[in-house]
Amino acid sequence: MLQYDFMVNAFAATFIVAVVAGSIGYFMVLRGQTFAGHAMSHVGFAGATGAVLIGLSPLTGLTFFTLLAGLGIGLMGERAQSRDIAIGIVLSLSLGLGLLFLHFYTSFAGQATALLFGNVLGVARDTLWIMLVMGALALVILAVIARPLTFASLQPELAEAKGISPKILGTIFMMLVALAVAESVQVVGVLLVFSLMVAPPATAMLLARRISTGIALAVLFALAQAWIGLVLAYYTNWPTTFWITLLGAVAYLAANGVVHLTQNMR
Amino acid sequence: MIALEFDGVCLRYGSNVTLADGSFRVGQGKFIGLLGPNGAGKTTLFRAVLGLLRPSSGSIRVFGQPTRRGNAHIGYVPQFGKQLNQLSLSGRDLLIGSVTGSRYGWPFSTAAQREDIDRVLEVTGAGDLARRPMGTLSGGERQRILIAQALLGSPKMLLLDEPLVSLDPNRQESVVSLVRDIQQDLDMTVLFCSHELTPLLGKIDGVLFLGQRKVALGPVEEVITPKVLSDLYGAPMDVVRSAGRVFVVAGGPSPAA
Amino acid sequence: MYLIVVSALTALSLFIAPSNTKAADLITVVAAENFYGEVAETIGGPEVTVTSILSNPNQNPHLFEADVATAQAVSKADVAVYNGADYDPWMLKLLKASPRAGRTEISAAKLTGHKPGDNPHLWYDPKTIPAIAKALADEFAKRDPANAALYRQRLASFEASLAPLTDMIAQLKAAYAGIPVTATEPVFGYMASALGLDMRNYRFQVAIMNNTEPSAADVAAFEDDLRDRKVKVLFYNSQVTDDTTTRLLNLAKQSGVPVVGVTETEPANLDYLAWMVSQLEALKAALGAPAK
Repeated sequence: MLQYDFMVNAFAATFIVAVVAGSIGYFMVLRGQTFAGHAMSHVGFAGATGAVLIGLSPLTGLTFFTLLAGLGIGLMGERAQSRDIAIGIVLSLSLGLGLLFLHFYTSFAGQATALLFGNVLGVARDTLWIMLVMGALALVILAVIARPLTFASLQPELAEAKGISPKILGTIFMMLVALAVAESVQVVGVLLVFSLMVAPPATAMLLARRISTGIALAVLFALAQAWIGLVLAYYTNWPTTFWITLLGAVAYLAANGVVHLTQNMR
Repeated sequence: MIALEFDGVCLRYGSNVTLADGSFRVGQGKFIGLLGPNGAGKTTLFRAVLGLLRPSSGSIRVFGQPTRRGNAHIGYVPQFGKQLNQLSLSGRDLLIGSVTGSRYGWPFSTAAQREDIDRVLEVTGAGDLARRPMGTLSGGERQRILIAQALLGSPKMLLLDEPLVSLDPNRQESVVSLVRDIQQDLDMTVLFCSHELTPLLGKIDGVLFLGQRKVALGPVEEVITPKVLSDLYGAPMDVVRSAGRVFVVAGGPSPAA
Repeated sequence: MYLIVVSALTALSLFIAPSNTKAADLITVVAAENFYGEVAETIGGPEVTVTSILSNPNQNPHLFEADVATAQAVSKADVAVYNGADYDPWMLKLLKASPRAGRTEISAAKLTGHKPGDNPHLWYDPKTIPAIAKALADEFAKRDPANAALYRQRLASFEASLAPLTDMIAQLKAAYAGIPVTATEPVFGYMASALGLDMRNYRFQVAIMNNTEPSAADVAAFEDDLRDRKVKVLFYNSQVTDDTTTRLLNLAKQSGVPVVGVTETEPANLDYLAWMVSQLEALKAALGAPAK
């Protein structure tokens, strides 16, 4: 299995994505913003198509636009319900803009759409380096804001009284999500990123008492999901993403079961 | 020493004026109940004291200094937040989180901070409670943890925003007693916001009553009178005393009838 | 359990196969689309082994996600043939993920001078398949000089076999050049060009191809063309059924404009020649003039 470059690259790429998605995803689940992650992956399309129209690279457009969306969502929504609305509005606006940009195309828009179909089995060696750098950057930013972000997520009024701005933190975090999503989606695809951002942290939260162990578990579960999924895909030839999402669901259900059993045994 | 001074203060919440030309002084070490009808602007008043809201006119001084965000002299117990409902995090970890989460950068707590946490948990008697997941605590137990949290950093003033909501009467009593004991031991100035006067009776030094954009501060017998209350509620009110308890009730013919 | 055992055995056999000395002498070709793969089989004969990736006519080529077997085939190939022009971007990704020194990549787009943004349905351009055939013949001859003559011979027969198609194109062009036609999608575009037909409603087609909504004005113009019989034929993608297409087909039928179905992918039981010829026959019948 490992004599194939594409498999080695796949393991490496999913390692990076698992670490980033697992840790950022933990905060997304904590803050109830998994919808935002999903929305971000679709927003990039408008940026990619718009960029090509004005002669820029689709990747530049995708990154810039996703960051802009992150900024918009962060600034707009503070309370839980307005976040949902904010995300919904930004998402539908972006999709609409994407349609508008496509309307102005007089030729085939393959270049922009190609960007969105990442495939974990199609990762090139030099892409890995870029992913590593971006992933490290994302983790550094996360490490700096982690504690205030947790505080602001759990007790926003108190955090505000202490001089921490939940709105600014929320916006920085949303832009971080945007960056992480934009960079990984075009490498490994929408579904894979999203499944590693939701199920592993949710499972970790069921089992861990503390924030730090929660994040560690989330990353561990994400990694296990991704790597076991890859191995299963290799030997069954069924789609990689299917296995990874299946493992995620199974892990979550299993953790749920464990929690219920231990509660009943007390 | 004046702990809190409002001088001709005008407070706005959105387009609503909640306080117009309000002036009062609260002496240090006093336990004051903040009362008033729903929507009168009690939380807005707290936010102004915390420096999160600028008065549109007048000035507010806390221990002689103008208000500012992140004032370490003020401890705050906000209204019940449902994020803490299902939390598997322990109270102790919640406290550590608020200490390390109050600044960016180094995410680990210092020895001094951990000692402070031990101290506040001892003062509130919440040491054992703090080891359990927050989600497993009852309402009253959670309040105990949150009060401990507000005492971190040894503030001189404590603001509690409706801490008795959804607690049953005997729990309410124990929370008020706990605050009273802490207040006296540590010589703190406390503003305790509540819907009802009854649980606070006999424990508070005075009442700060907010209503109809006006404010009245004084001992219970002076403020909780039909005349003062009717003015502050903008409707005929009556005061009923029974077995040492005091109830504020809507009295007189209803204007709509 | 059974599935794992079977998969393990299959995987094991993958490791065993390359040690077969006969297999090692064959030139391994991977083709993104089966119509190019066919050409490789014809030119290469028993000297090559060809894997075609998109070979199921019912599979939507735009939604394709490569699986492990596909990635393996690409990684082991000596020669890779694909369309290019952003039609099959997944192929480029797979090639980059498994770099291989000395592997030759043949892109139909590069051969025919097309770039990203152009109509990607290059296999409908009569120049493309012969160009691919020639490139493959040259490549096979380079790798296997001992059989060079064989490859050139097969190339010659292949080119000769396409004569019926070339003739038919010439006939139709002579008879119908300049006639206005329309289409719901640009699939048939290059062939229509080769036939000298005047293709209308191009903006509408680009919108459909790009998965966006054609503007109201473009839709109205399309319907007018049908109603007023300004076009002699309507081409539609017979593999796609949706409301827009159905409505236009009905309108065409009502207005007496003949319709011709074309497919984006090669039908299961036809080879390239039969596929193209059958569609041109349908066109001839629709245009109604006897062959000269």
